[in-house]
Amino acid sequence: MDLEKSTRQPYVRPVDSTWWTKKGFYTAYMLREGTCLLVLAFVLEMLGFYIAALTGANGLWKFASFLGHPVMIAFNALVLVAVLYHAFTWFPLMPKALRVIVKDTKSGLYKLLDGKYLVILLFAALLGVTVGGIVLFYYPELLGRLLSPFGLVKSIVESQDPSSMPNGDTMKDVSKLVQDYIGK
Amino acid sequence: MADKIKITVQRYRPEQDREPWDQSFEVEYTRETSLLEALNSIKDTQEPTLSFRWSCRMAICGSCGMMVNGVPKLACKTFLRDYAGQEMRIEPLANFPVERDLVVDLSDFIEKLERIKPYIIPKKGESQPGEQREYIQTPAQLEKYRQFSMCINCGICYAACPQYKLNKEFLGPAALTLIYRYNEDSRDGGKEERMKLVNQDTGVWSCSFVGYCSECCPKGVDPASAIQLGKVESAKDYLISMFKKKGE
Repeated sequence: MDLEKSTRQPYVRPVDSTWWTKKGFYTAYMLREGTCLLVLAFVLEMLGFYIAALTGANGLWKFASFLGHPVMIAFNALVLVAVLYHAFTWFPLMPKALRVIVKDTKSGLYKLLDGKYLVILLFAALLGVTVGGIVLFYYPELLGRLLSPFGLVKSIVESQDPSSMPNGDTMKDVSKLVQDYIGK
Repeated sequence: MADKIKITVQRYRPEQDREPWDQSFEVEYTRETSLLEALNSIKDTQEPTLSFRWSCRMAICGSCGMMVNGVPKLACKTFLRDYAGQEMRIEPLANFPVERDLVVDLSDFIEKLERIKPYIIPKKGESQPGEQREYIQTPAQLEKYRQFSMCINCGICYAACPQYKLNKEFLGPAALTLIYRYNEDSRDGGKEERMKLVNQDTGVWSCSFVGYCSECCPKGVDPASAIQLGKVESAKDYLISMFKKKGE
């Protein structure tokens, strides 16, 4: 036997591009990461609504009828489910990124908060209200500005009939309404 | 009376085989039989050429990591009773090159462990070379890293990690966990050196928080947690460096 000669020939297993379908844990991870695209869709929609509202009533009506299309309603129902799922996936992960040492020996906020999602939600709500409250205390006019597109929608819905929108006179009224709101 | 279970083992003999192949065995087991004992009984009574690593039989040495029905586990900590009524499929630890049968080449992992300087580096000016003295630590200071020091270097977290599967340059769960463990040690002064490895592309930011490493870790180390905490440290490090003068 030749002791000098090595028979080493390490075998490297090929990586299959469908590896994430082989295990429930990996599939759930891909779903978590994948749903972020629908979160993006929601953000873009909100941005579109905001821009449409600021450009005027006509744009807003166009945007509203676009969203009213059955395909968009079905898509938005899917987006809602995806956004809720995406948000929920971070609850079990959050305590891993936050470490609190309690009384020298009990370590890990994870143990304290594991599975207690209601407590986490409560803390999140408390934080949101506190931060929001502080901001609005110093900049109360911010609320009006942020809500102005919503107020505009309400005014148009209450005062106008969508079928009459292309009419020139009505458009003038609505434009004034829009300018009032932007001016506020 | 002992029950029987079918165990299929992936075989690979580099001098004869071009690719791995499967071999099945019938094994008798009792409530206490571990997978490691079953493999040893196969080697003793059925297939003497079957190769696998093992040493302590009690989840301390970290030698017997292998894939059990697709999940990375320590053979000594896996009991056949939990697979009653099923078949077991044993493969070598995923994401590492197969040397022979269930033996994998862990040298990439070992090299990464060495690279992160997994030992206490004295703080500058705190002690003289060769000097021996006590370094006092409070229970609270110990608690900061204790959980992350439980790692037995079995490589199971690397087999669980899809990021390591796709990119072998990634430092990986155990190495990044040990970095955090030493950086958080009140006696250590090597954080600055190790943060360079943490901040790199191949450091914490290559982790996309799949979290399966923590799911599989046989010692409850929770590497995913250490890496996320490492991301916090890396972000802080980046912020601080922006305010530091260049060359400092």
